Amino acid sequence: MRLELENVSMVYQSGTPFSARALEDVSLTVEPGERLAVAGPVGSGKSTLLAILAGVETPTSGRVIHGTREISRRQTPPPGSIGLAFQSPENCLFEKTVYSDVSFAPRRQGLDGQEVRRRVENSLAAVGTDPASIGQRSPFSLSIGEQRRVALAGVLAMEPRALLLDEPTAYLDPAARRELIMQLVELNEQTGVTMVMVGHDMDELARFAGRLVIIDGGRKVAEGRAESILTDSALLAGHSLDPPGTVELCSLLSAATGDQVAPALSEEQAIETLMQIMEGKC
Amino acid sequence: MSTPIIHLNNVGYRYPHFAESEDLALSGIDLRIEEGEFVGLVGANGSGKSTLARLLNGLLLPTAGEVRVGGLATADTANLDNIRETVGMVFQNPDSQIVATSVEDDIAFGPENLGLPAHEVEARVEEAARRFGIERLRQSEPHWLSGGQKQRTVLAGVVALRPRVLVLDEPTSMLDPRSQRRFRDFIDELWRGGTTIIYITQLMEEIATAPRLVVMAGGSIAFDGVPAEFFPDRDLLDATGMEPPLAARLAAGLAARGCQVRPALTLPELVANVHAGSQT
Ligand SMILES: Nc1ncnc2c1ncn2[C@@H]1O[C@H](COP(=O)(O)OP(=O)(O)O)[C@@H](O)[C@H]1O
Ligand SMILES: Nc1ncnc2c1ncn2[C@@H]1O[C@H](COP(=O)(O)OP(=O)(O)O)[C@@H](O)[C@H]1O
Ligand SMILES: [Mg+2]
Ligand SMILES: [Mg+2]
Repeated sequence: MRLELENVSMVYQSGTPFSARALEDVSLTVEPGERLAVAGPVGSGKSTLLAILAGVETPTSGRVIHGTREISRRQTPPPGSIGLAFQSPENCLFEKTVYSDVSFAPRRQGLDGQEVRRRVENSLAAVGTDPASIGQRSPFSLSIGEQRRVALAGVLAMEPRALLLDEPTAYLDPAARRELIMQLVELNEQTGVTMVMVGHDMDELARFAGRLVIIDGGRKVAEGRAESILTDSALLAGHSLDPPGTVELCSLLSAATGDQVAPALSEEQAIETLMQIMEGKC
Repeated sequence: MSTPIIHLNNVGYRYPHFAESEDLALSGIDLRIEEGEFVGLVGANGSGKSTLARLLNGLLLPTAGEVRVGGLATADTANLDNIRETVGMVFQNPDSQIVATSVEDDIAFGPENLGLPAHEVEARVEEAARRFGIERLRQSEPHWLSGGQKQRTVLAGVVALRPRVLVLDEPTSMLDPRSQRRFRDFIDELWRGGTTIIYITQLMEEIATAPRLVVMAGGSIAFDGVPAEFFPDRDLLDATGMEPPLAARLAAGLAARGCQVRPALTLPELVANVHAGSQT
């Protein structure tokens, strides 16, 4: 499903002394089936952008379009079409057991018991938890990292047409982070579900994104293919972001050898580059 | 030998009303931390890091064994005021720790509760606000601040108590890379000033050069030593769900392809080793 923002601006608590401008004239098109990443400093408006894209918040001005349908306060997206994983999803857990929490949306979608069960088990497995051992526990008895995984499983279980993820890997351990990115890429490739992910770990975004948008101070300041933005260290540094580690490595190598070393975007590529520099020593 | 500032002796912890499972959140923990140490604490989700942190200032009391802070057992309620002055905590979620409606009141909250005179409270608030670069935000409402500003407000409030030990539970998870680095630099500065630091993180780059690394798995300590011994150990990494920093992964990748390069934990180190290797 195509998602579009047209000249969207957002002012929180407009007209009060606490009025805060979070987005300023942002236009953005998310193509059906693509994996788009949104990066930017803390407070730049990323979560606001995602919530507006999901139709959860209504912008102060501008238009939001899902497919061919304009979204508004009165015209909300059909249930189950958009899955939004909030930045602090632990605040959204509410059922007695993990199993009933994750099955909440599919049950509300009126699916039969067997299908609900399949979805719950698949999505708990996708976030690296074991349904048998965690399913009957209370979500409130879990560590923060475990709660995040469960909340994310709840969104995956909706099997929405577009999946919007707000810093989904924060608080996850390294193995879970790597696994989650792999699972998301695989899910996107198998089902064509449109994905937008907010994050600031560029190594992770390099593994996830086809296209990347940077926002800063509520404005869209860059947009393009992930390879070209992620290798532009000066652009990233201007917005409190670091290049992926493999790109930083190549800058350090350039400085040390005095030769211009082309930026690498994967660990494989970085190892190749290092081997060339070591020449005959391998 | 002097009394360690933190001493856990065969400590176990079971959460109450946790009938669904027989699992202990922690078991058989032996840990000695001397005053002035910097300890990185890592482990998979659910391995027991936050539980351990909450035992260190008596927020939780061990259900087995004993936790001592500066020689005082946390189980003795008469010691708790003293222990909470000694050990400052920064929790995983800054929202859960903000108590007041302005930044300066939030920083002042702890020192006021210590019963310090007003002029001393004001002096500490001023110093902490300056140190963390939030003087201009003193009148702001913490709720609307950015994640980085909130995290600094919380830290200023804790540091204003001048604790001898600072426990930080995944403090940078919500920050962008530049704010992460600044935060980490603040902590290093406190450490150089003599504060004992226990730093919990999921970002291996943040503890790659820590003098001491403790790794938890399934409620127990799986490793206690220097990072350079932990990260090359494939079996330990797999058993604990951890991953080496990028530089170590690349060095291992080179070794697997028959390129001999000295192990490295940071990118500058790796570049230096590769460069030296290519010139000999
Ligand atoms: N409910 C709210 N009321 C007032 N200001 C808000 C609210 N939510 C966010 N803001 C402000 O809007 C700006 C953008 O916030 P957010 O979208 O959360 O940024 P990010 O996700 O990039 O960190 C920030 O300055 C933040 O303080
Ligand atoms: N309030 C609680 N009640 C019951 N069990 C809990 C509670 N908090 C954490 N646990 C359990 O204790 C174990 C350790 O959790 P925690 O210390 O939060 O892990 P970490 O911080 O390493 O992610 C986990 O299995 C978790 O599910
Ligand atoms: Mg956000
Ligand atoms: Mg924790």
